[in-house]
Amino acid sequence: MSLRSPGQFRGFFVHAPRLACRYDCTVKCDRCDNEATVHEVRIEAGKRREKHLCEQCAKAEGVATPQVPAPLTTLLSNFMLQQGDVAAPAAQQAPAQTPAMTTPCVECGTTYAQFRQNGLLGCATCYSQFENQLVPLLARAHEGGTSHKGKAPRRLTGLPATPAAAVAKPAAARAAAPAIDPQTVAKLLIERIAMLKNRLADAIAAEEYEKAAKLRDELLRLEGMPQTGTLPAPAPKRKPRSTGDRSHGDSQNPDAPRGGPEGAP
Amino acid sequence: MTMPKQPFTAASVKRGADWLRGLGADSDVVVSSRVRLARNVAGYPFLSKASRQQRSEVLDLCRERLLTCGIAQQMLWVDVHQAPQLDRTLMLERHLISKEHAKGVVPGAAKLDSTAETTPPNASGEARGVAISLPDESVSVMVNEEDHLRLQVLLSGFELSAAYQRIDQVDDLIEGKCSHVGGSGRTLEYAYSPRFGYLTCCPTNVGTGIRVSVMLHLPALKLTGELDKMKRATRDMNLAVRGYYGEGSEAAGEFYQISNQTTLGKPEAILLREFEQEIIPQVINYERQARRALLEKRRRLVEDKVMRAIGILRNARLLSPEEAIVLLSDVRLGVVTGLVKGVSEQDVNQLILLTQPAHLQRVLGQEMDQNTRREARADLVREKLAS
Repeated sequence: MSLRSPGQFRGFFVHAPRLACRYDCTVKCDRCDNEATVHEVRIEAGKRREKHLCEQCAKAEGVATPQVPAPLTTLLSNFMLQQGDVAAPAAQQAPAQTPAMTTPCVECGTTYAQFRQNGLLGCATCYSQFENQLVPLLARAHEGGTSHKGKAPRRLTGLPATPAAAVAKPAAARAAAPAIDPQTVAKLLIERIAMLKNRLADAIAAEEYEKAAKLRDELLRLEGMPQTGTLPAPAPKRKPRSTGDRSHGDSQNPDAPRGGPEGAP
Repeated sequence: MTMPKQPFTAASVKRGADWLRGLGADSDVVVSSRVRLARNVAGYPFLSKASRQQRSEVLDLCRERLLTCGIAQQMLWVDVHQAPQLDRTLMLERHLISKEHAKGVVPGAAKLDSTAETTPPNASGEARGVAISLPDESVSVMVNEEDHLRLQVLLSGFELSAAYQRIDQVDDLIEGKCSHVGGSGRTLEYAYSPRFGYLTCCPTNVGTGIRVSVMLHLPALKLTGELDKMKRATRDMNLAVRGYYGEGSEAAGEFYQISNQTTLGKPEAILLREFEQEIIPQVINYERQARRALLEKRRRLVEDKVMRAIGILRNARLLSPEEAIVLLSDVRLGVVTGLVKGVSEQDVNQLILLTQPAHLQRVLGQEMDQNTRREARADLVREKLAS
């Protein structure tokens, strides 16, 4: 911990009593007879000034002493939760009694406060229930990732057994894929609309208006569709997708092992 | 599909585990490759919130599906909560189940009370199980660990692609209806959302739910002091470096596991490519360079370390498991660099496994206290390494 300004340097270090240090700790506190464990060095206008204090006197003098370090495991397990809080808007940082913290999940009754305590969610619904609080936290835990890319269950994709063929010839693969029952299609459509709404909110928050407009158009198109029948194909693209677009199940991506629901028939 | 009558007989245990065969690519540095997937069953709360009844329903459904969906010709099922302590430790030593699964830690219970080092009361009774493919034991699926399902494929050497292909196939097989003759007709579907992917109890696993991990033997990097640099570099890439026994374990005998932490927003294929083509080959390269440099410039030092280790192992009358793994690690360095003749990589790998407490007891066919085990361990090692 040091403070630097032109021509000025201030630093200090603290050590436990009886541990070897370069001050050879026979040094006594400047203010009392105790062993000095806090050593402060100041360089002001080219002059070096040292202060040696015991812990009590250091506190009395207002020389800040670092907290006793928490065990590493505790730090690590708390890391993610704390990170999430730092990034969360001020409203979510408020004490435990705010509605955001105490509103239980409609499905399993887990509250966000409980999640903060043990880092575990209670059920699948918790993810949608606490989505706003979770997103910044997920971004930090997953190198910025806030939406899924990669494999989707085969029951949803309806892709044939050889994913390579599906990637190489999407149209042919779609034609060959077995039909999904209308219920699943309706469920997928609802999920996709929900996902697009989330992304729209993200885009607006990030002031990416061009992207937001595209998402809005896609939403309007989907919301105008009947909730049964065939799942719509993604809207034809006018130009290449921007790299910042973290779309889910990017079936255009040759690296993805399998397309998401968007690749479904 | 058939079920074996007696799991883990002395003979099958003695044969060792396939992932320690010392086969596969780059086995001089890479001991094994592992891919695991975290999955939950749709329609049930996660285990942090599941009641006893729900836990046991999940267990029944998963067991039925795992034993009938055609994962392998022969599948072994173990009700871990009812298995004897020795069998549980045996599976842990063979990396078929996790420490938490062996102990029976209920998700949430341990983390809520960070001081609870020991097993919570009755936890060993919580319904949980594991399905293992036989005879190779390459596929194992834990039921009711932190998530309802934890799928794992473990292969010898640097074989990540093969491991992923296998687990991908197993993953697809598990989802479906129990429609076999006499089946319950129930359907197992994974909890999945298009936005967040496969939903997991802990959000650090959400998305692909994948954990790719490679166990490396890095004695030369340790000797040259470059290991810390390597560890820092991998941590900067958001990867975890762990010891031989995985999460929370210290390195034993210079064996390290490198694994990914990011599971959301990064497709499986990209993660695998990073591991297979960039990260791990670089570490392998560094280790090999360090081995060459040591042999050229500090040959005496390496020889001394290796020969001392083999000298102790060939003469010791008492051996603790910790000492054994450290010395065997040194011998392994001697074997792969050609300093030790007449001992194979596989012999050393097998000894690392057989000298662990539960294996030792099963091989010798009797339960032993710690002191007797130290004697038996020393005897076993002397016999195997006899020149």
